[in-house]
Amino acid sequence: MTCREFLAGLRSAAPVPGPDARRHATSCAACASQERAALLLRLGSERPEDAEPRAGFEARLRARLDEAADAATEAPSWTRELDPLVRPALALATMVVVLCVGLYARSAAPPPDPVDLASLFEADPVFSSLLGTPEAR
Amino acid sequence: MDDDASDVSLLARAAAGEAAAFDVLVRRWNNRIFRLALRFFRRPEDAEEIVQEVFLKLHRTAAGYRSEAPFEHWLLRIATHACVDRLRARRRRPESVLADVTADASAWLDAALTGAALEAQQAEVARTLAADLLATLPPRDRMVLVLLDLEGLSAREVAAATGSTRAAVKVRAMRARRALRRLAGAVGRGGRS
Repeated sequence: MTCREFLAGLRSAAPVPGPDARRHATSCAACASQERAALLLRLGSERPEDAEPRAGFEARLRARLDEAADAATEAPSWTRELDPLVRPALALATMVVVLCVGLYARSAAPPPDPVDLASLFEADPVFSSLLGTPEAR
Repeated sequence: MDDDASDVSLLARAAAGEAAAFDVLVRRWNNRIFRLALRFFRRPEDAEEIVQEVFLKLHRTAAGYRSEAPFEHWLLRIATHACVDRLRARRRRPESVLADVTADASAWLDAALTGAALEAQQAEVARTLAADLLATLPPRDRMVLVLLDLEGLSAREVAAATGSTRAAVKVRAMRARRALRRLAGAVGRGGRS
């Protein structure tokens, strides 16, 4: 028997070590150690193959499900009816806030200097050269 | 109620509020989940608590089920997560378990690991010690090993059931086997008298 065959046997659903496996385990320390570990796992995880929850399990579960459902419906019904309106209302509120911030920023900025034709004549060389200075007219 | 209906159609009906459909699912799967939980929790009450948690979560998330993954994998994933969470909360350090081991318990477990016959009470002590030693393994590693070696799932199925990858499953299994070998080697080397 090879180590591979031995280990495959260990991991089968119901390992029954035959004489070949026993001989292999006595001659291979690594496989013997694996076998011991596998037995530890099996022993510590043992449970009856036909184990079932205690009687009344379904009733207990149903009670917990009902409890959870009651907790979920504890909120008053009028708040549930408003649920579909929550998202649009939030979107609208956000838009209003953004608009207000924009308006405030605009009103808080310093007013631009007044621009009229006279000041353009005085300050802008392009205007002055095109139309001439007031004295020239 | 149509007991032959598929899990997926029952779940869809349960999500739509049909309590009887959910009851069929519970009857169909509760033993499977209970027996898996008993691998990790020796008290039936604890295992049952896990089963309840699993079905409560299934009920809560039924509407979110997408049928790309088989129902069994989805349910197993909920179950493995519930077990792992609880195992994490109860995990013990190997030193603390080994420090509490009596010489008798250690000798009986050693005898059990060599295949010797034990009296019922000795066998129970050996089983309890073995379970305590397994409780020192990282919970996810232990889960992978139990699913692979005791529940007979393939690496691919274990990956699906634990929300992992095949490579990660193999690494976890290798790590868990190494830790188990260490623990099994430590048994029989002592214990307080």
